Amino acid sequence: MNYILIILEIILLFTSILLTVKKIGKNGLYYLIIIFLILSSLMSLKQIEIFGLEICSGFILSIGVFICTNILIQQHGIVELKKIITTNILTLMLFYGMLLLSCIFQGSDINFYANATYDYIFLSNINLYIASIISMTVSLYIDGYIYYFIKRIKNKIWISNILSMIISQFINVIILILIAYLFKLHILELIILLIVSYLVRIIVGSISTIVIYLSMKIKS
Amino acid sequence: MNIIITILILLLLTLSIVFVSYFFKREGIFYLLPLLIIISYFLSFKITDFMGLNLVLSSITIGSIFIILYVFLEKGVKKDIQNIKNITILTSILTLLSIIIMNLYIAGVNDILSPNIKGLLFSNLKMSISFFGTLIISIYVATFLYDNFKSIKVNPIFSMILIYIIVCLFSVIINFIIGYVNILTLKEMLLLITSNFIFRIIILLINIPIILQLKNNRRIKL
Repeated sequence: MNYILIILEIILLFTSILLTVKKIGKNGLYYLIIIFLILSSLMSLKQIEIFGLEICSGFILSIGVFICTNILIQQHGIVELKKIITTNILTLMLFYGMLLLSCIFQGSDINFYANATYDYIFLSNINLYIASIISMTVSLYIDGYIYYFIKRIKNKIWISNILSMIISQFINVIILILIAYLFKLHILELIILLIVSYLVRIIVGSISTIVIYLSMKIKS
Repeated sequence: MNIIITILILLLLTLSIVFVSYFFKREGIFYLLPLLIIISYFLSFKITDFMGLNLVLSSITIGSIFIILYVFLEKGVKKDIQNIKNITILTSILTLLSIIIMNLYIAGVNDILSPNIKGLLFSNLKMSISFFGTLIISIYVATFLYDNFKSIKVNPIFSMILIYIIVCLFSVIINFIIGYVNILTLKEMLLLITSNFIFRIIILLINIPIILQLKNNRRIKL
């Protein structure tokens, strides 16, 4: 079941990117970055089983942020990176800030259990929020520069995309897992989780090259 | 305590709108829209006690979505209004589908949060659908009414308040009835609808100076 849902999520991700590029254009990619950032943060609260290992479920949408970044850099150059990084930091900080503020609110007596569940869900993973902000900011910055650097040397989309994904996802996974799970998991479990998360991200990230090619075709 | 946090959230929202309009110009306000929609969606799951009244937290944030809508309605550029509609639909569909996919995933055995997430977001899926449904309809209705009021030359501030009253009443009634039927008693539901409706109108009245300030802001001028 999980594998089917992963494929469905990938289809949803790729379709939404292509449709947005076609219908809205450049600004649409920024809207998608914001939507993917928030939804991937939320989805990472749930752990799913893949290849017998538990990983955070938000990884596909978080790769969506990198795909949108690479499309923006491919089409409009490195000048977009600063704006993407600022958007990323502001979005995550405002979203987590609002969530945490809402948890401080004293819940009403009516619908008591829903209020208590709400607080429990959003207050129990503060380290994941911090990990998410740091890992996304650092890895997006590195991804953007590597993509642009390889684009300038080789000017081949597939080389730029795959290489930038390989490096940026490695940094993303390491920072995220070390901050979020360092003292929660055994060291061996941590290493396996790191390797599996990284491999799954690389596979999805590599497939996304097709989306960048198609988006270029749509643009032209 | 709840009053202080409400003021804090209102300040945070207002400052973020002003901040993005100054630093990212008009695009920044559009970027804020998907963020506000998703935040409002999550906050709609918590009911808090506000001076003895039951207040759904999204009532605080949803006003900001309408501030953005009114600023661009006042500017009168059809392309911007269409952009707002597109963003709302895109955000709603993606959020709803992601929530459904997330809850269909089979959770790992050590995941203790999963049953709670499922209980809060998925078991009351009709509430999520009604939230996004009423939001999209409200934006369409507000745009339609604004155009009609403008053609008969109604005062902009008066038309803004009147439109918000109509849209707010519609969304609060539909959203809360669908979301809380079989959860709350009829009396609780009526009180919830009334208190949230009044609260949303007060929030709009507080925000009118911001709308006027943003409307005259040179940076978001076309």
